[in-house]
Amino acid sequence: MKHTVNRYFKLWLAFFRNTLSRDMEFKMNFIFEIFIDIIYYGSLFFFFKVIFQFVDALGDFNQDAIIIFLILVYIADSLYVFFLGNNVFEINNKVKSGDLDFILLKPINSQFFISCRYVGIYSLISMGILLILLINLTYAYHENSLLLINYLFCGISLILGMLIFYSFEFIISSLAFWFRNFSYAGWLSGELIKYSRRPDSIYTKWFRKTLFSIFPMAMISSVPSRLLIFGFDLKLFLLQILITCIFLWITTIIWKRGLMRYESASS
Amino acid sequence: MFKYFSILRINWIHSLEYRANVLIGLFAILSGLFIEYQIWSLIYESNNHSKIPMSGIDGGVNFNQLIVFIFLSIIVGQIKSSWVTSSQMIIEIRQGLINKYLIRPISYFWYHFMMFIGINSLYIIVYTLLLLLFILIFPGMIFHTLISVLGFIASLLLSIYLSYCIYFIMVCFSFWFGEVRSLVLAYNLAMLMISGQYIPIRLFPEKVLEIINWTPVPYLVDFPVSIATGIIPVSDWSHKFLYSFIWCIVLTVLSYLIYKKGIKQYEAYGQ
Amino acid sequence: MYIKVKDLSKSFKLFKRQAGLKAAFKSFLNRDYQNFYALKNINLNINEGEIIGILGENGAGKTTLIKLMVGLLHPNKGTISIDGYNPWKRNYKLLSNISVVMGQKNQLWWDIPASESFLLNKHIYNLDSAFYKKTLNELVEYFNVKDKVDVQVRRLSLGERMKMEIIAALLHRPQIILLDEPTLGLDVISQAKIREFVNYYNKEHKTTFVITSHYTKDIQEMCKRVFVLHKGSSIYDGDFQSLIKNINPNKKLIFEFCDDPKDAFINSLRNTFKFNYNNRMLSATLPESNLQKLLSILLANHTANNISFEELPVDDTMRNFFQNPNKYIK
Repeated sequence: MKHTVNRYFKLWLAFFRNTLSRDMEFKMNFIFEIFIDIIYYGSLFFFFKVIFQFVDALGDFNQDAIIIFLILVYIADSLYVFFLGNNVFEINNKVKSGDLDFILLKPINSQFFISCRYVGIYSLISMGILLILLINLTYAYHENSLLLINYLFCGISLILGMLIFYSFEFIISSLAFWFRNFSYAGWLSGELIKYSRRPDSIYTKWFRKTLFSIFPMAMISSVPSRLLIFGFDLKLFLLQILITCIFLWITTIIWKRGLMRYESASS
Repeated sequence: MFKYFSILRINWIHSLEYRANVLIGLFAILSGLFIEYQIWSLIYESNNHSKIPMSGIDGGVNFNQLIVFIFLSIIVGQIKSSWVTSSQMIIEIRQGLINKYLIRPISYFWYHFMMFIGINSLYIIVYTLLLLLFILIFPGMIFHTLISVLGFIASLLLSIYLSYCIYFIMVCFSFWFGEVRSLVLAYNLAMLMISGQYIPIRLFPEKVLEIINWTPVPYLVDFPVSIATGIIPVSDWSHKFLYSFIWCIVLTVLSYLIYKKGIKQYEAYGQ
Repeated sequence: MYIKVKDLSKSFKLFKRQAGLKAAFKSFLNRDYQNFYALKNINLNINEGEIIGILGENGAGKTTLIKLMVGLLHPNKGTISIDGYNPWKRNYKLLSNISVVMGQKNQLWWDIPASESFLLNKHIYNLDSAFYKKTLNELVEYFNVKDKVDVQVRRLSLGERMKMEIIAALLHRPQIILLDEPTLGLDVISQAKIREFVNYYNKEHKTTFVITSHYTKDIQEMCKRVFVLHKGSSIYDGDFQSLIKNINPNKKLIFEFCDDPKDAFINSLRNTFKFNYNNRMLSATLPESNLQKLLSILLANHTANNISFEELPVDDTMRNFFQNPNKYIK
């Protein structure tokens, strides 16, 4: 077991090196990626600013809490893009071109390979900046106290949320095995992920329940925010762990089924 | 002239292959609306259902009016957006595939405009059906008069043309820079918010709205939607249409100039 | 038996659609399928250390056969066993021991030096550092690409890229190597180098090679045994030279006379043999035994300035063969 973990970690480091080596060739991309991030995050921020002209709080989240929530949305995003995000929608391309073949012929878990192949180096910079902002704002929110235990559970929760984000996009992307011209999987996924980019408190009761279970969008950013802002909640935390395990398991099943259906593009 | 029609036709056939995408488009509209519905329900509840002030409307808007406005904004926003065509154009310019257009008696601008319409036509048809369905279920909320339908169509056409021109200008930067794709992506993201697709621009803080009114942005989404919902009285139409039309001319001229310069650059360096 | 293919059949579903708007609308609601039989009842046994060529025209089913053999496709019928393993179970032990190089596809990353991709393979195959260095150096030296290894792949020529692909594919010293159209698009020198390499590597490491190609020269220079596919069926499995002799037993003789032969002599020869004669040069394309007879008669009556035998171009032979294979195969 330890040997396997070690091996896959080394392999991931090789992916990191490879990607870094390639990205260093295109230095301008760093700037562009940050530029896009600023615009995207900026527009979301703007959205809430407009809304707060008309209201003081959205459920549990007042204006300050919403800002912290948004920063966690961005951090969750960056984390996801760093480890997994750039790869998930490559599945469609690789299925269409038949490049998936090369991955399947390697003595490595193909799901791991295709999910971690390209490391999102650029997002490290955003992550760094956002972390600093986060700490500052949360410190202020908690009346100048640093509740380390909140950060710890928030961090774990972010990683779990990232895995749920991954599972979700992976399942949608894997539909490429069944629907050949499904080039807009990214669009569909983007529309669904929107639900995670609003605090869970805006949703009505019955829908909110689905966001914490079968459509676990609240698990990606809302739960980490709650753990950070309002303190540790055992029930919520355990629920998140359970949902993460279930969804990851579903991805392995779908991947296996998808491969069975895979017919490589003719030469 | 017929050659342009055949371009449209072939792209229309092509778009039929991608039928799943239209379903996603529909889903995007309804899902986006659903989220907005949740947020604004909460806001109106917190304010005891009092009307929200909206620029250009005396007394503000109630919940139903706002949701209808947002619904139309989302649809119009989607119709005018062009990711596929612009991506393709950028690739063509960067990889030197543009040659095939230069040696044919065809205008690059109009070729891609037809392509744009062709690709989007399936969406346009389906969204029109959605609008008709809406009118059937909730009569009287939009298109109070026949003339508002005509006004809507006219302003929508101008909006589509304006939007295309803006994409075209951005795409032309590919003649000089490599990573224009990022620029277009950033534009799309910014436009989602600024054009009023998710929050009507009339709700923006006044200072921001003032700045936006100096750009063609209000004519992309707000103008057609305001006509459809009857916010702009017919008497005000003429000068709005005039401004919209002026923007069309300005952007067309700009497109032409930038394209010409770009082609010179392209020919100078080959690709 | 190292690779065993038994009763293998594979068919694909193809979409059918006519041109025109009406047809487009129809297909929007309902899609029309047609079955295409890529392979029918293929039987093939490959021994360890063999170099076997799979020959056939485009669309004959060569690449499909390769993909089935490595588990990238599932057959509709039949079984495949490689070293006792079932390929589509994707056992890692098997995968660590095979390698596939596809002439038209790149495994290496475009924007970074090949050496980086090699390093990645080292980790994927979990290779020991010493072993990796040794193997890498051997291959780099053989192909003489030491100064190209640190150049971005996109800056290499097609021939150099192919060499890098092969190196990447062999770093883990697989026992079975499948090459799908390896010389496609390469210049003559690179093609020759690759063929030379295959022979060398097979000798050195007793590796099994399965090579598909539609270039007859590839097969001629690398493979003793050939497996011929035609429209999804196997029509020949055996020695390549025998096949050629079977199809076209003819050779060409060119005889240059020292002195002018008499017309009567030439005419008498024409009764028995078919040939061209012009200005002291006689050229005849005949089966070898007939040529020997002709030659002995010529030498008995005249001296020659120059005699040469030519093999007929194998490509022409194969082209004739594919146009009507049943003519040659019982």
